[in-house]
Amino acid sequence: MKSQPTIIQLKDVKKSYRLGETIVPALNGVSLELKRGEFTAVVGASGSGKSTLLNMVGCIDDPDSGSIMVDDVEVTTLDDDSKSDLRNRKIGFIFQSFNLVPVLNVFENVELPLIINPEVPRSTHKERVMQALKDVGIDHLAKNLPDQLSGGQRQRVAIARALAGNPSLVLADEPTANLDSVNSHRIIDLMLELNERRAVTFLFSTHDEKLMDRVSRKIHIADGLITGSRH
Amino acid sequence: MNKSVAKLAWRNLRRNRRRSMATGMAIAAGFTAFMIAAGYAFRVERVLANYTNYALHVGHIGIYKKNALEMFSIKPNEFALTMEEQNAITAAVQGLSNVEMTGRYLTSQGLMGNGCKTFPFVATGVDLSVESRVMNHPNLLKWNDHITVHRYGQPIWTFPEDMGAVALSEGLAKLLGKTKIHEELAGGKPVMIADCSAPNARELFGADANVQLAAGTWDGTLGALDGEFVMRFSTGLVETNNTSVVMSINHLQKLLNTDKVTNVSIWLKEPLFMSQTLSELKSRLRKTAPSLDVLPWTDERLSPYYSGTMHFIYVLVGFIGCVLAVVVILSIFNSATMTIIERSQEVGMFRSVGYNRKTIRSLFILEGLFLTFASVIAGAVLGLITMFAINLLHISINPPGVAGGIDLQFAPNALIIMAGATIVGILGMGSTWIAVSGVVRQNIANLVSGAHR
Repeated sequence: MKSQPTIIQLKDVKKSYRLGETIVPALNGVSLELKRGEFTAVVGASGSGKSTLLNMVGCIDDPDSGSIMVDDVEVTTLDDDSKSDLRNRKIGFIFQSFNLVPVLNVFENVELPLIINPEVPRSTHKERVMQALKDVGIDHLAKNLPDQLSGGQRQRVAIARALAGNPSLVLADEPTANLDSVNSHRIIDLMLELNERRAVTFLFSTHDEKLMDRVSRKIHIADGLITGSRH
Repeated sequence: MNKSVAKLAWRNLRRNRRRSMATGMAIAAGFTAFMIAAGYAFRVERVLANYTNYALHVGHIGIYKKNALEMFSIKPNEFALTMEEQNAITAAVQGLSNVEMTGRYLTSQGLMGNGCKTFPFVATGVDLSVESRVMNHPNLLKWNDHITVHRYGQPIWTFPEDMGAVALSEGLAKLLGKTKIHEELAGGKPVMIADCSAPNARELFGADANVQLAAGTWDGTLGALDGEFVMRFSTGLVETNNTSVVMSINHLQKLLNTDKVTNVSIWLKEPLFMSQTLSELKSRLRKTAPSLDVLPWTDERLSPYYSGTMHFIYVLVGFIGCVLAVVVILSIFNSATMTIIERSQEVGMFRSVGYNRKTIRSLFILEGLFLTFASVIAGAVLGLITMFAINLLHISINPPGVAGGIDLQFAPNALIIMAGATIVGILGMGSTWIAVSGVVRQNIANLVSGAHR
């Protein structure tokens, strides 16, 4: 794994939030390196800074200071449109609450990132979407609306959407938090399988210790600082 | 991409049908009100414009002696057009391709008698051949078809020039007791009434189409002529319906002992190009007859009733337009604000998968546009049905100053409807843009988590 090139590099990243009159530190100088193809879990208690760390890596929040490199691009200096473009081409997101568009069917939800990607010809959308759905095992549900699916199926749709654009990196913020234990394990298994088959780097946050034995690397975070990192 | 965004926008409208319906109905109702007001204003404008242009003989361009509009009633001889000036005008008009016809007009006041009583009149002398074309002009008959309803008798242009045929307004004919016209009396001779206070005096007036005209001539003496009452008509205005008389210009010139005229009116084939024709005419007359005023019919002095009424109507329609604008802005803004707050997590998802702010704005603006467009279509259909139904009912109204009442009619105009729809669309897009802009600038992480609310 060490021979793989670096895909994420954080150097002394700090972030704090203002809550009324109070400044709440979320990241207190985090430095981190992730190699391409790693399957990494960020573990920590609620409020430890897991989500903030993922948000920084995913370019959906800006650090107060520090440097963030994603696939050799320094994202802290990018403007909003460039960051949007970077997210579209290189990063896939999986959210705790799935965040599917209820008026679009499964196929259309998965197609969303492709629509704005000029590098993906429209004629290939169907093939790509159906492949992504097949990879997550729900290609037979392509025409269903999200409210016709179970929680586990919805999260599979979200995973397919994250993978449809062939990103280098998939970020998942508590992807199993809204699922029962059976479905949680299935989702983690699926992510692992996709990590191996597609060689996609996964970085996900969780506080479920039962899932920890499945990952190749665990990063412990507490009070906005990385307290441990084990392969 | 645009097709997909449009599809998504259309589907999103159906998410909260009740809200979309309520917003749409508010816009539709507002647009219906605007259409009805605009339909009324457009018809009034067309009726008054054509009435002024043709029935009042103002034409599209009026040529007067300089300052005649202020001074003619005081010094008519001095501020009338001489023969030389009339000839200069005729020469200047020749070759102007947009000119349909020209007519000379002479106006004067005098007294009209029936043998016993006299009443003041205001006469208009007209070129008979032109009068026939003016009063039967398609534009006049299209917009002022009620004029024919209020005409009784034979038009003056159907009688020989030397007969002295006169058309009297309804009120003046009534004052004079002239209940029958020339053709109903088989050309009977003037009746001599020995005793004006006799019980049968009114009956005798009515049995006679002869009227006597008297006026001060322009050379300072008194002129008097006979006239033959051949037609009565309504001027449509209370203030002129008791005094108006129309006769041939030659007859009136004879009464006033002059060969001058008050003005020359010019009708255009295409009134939209009036300003070009006006400039050309001014330029030509500057060389040959510099002491003339060449005026557009919209000059308030030539069309005071048109100008005054239309100012009022424009204010009314403008007010309704402003109310509609406020309804559209508030409805769409409110709907868009609520929608985007509800869907902020979805906006966050869109942003996280790479949609930029512009695309997100486009999505919501398209939703607003679809809603506005559908509402405007519904409002337009409702407005057309309402106007059509009211037109069929022939409701008569009596506005102050109008003689005989008028039908409440509406004339929808495609250009006004399209312009209104475009403005409503722009307002809808603008208010959506304002409502959406604040949210799309939010931190994406906060949007996704719902923390920004």
